[in-house]
Amino acid sequence: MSPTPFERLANLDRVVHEPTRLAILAALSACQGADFLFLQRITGLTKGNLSSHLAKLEEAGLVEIEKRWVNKKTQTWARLSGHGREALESYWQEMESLRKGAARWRPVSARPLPAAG
Amino acid sequence: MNLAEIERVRFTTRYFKELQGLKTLVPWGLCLVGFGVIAMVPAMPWRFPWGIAANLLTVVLACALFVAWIFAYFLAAAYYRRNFGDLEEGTWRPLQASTRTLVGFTLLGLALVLLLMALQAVYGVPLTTVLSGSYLIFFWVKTGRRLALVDHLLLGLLLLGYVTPAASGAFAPAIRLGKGIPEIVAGFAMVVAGLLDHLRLVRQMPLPRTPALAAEPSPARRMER
Repeated sequence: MSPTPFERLANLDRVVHEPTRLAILAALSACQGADFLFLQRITGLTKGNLSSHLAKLEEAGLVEIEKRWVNKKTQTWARLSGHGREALESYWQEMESLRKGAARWRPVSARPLPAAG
Repeated sequence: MNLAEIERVRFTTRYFKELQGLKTLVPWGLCLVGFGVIAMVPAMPWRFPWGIAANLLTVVLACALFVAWIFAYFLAAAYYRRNFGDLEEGTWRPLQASTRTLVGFTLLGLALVLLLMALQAVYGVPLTTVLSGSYLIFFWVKTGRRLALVDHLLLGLLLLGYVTPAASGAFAPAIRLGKGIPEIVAGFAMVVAGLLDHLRLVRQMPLPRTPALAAEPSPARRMER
């Protein structure tokens, strides 16, 4: 028996599905790479939160982090890895199929009770 | 966070450089206003002091304007880099563009050139104003014909709508195509569009002290649940 849309929803990749990380991935998918300040402004996150999310994304192999020296200061740049691009693409496909599946889904009707006697 | 938020993030990232109004449209608009004023100089009835010829003053003003434009561009670029960060745009691959789009844009460009030639031959319509209006409409089409950016379409249409009747003398004498007036009108429209773009960018990219997206709960907090 195929899983219901809700069971499939529960099996989504948690690293990508988390809203803040999804926003970071969406931003990175619309460009080649972005610096830390840009990601901070576009998501509205604090430095600590953004660092933590980027570390998780890097750990999962979805994002590549690069340190650059600009005017004697370190600049952190992030870009989507090949695996990250594929993961995001398949996530959107899965969400689209879930949306269609959920619109069609009807609960399984309860079995009729056996006749008394 | 909903899909609209994700769409906002993608849109702002995709058009980050275009939305930097203080760097692109505002200096361009100010330049046009300046050129409009410079074009008026030789036609002015009063004499310049110290025997300075009107032509020399025109050249000096044009040079000063060019330097100011370059200066304003780099100043605004530094401002955006310092306050909004930076990104590397995706590389445009012409082979990936659909044939339909390429043919469409080529036909549109040819139609525009023919229209410009006809307008210039018949009415003496100024090229700068028509190009500015066309650019604003092109910007609106390029950014996905969004309702949020409809001000570009309106300003572009107003500019294109202004030049033809103004050239044919349908307007009152004060707003007809006198020397420099079309450039000033076009420049003013560009400045308005640039300022609106800048305000849009500021609104789309809130300061970090007011988190737009919910932060992930800490492990300790997760344990409490």
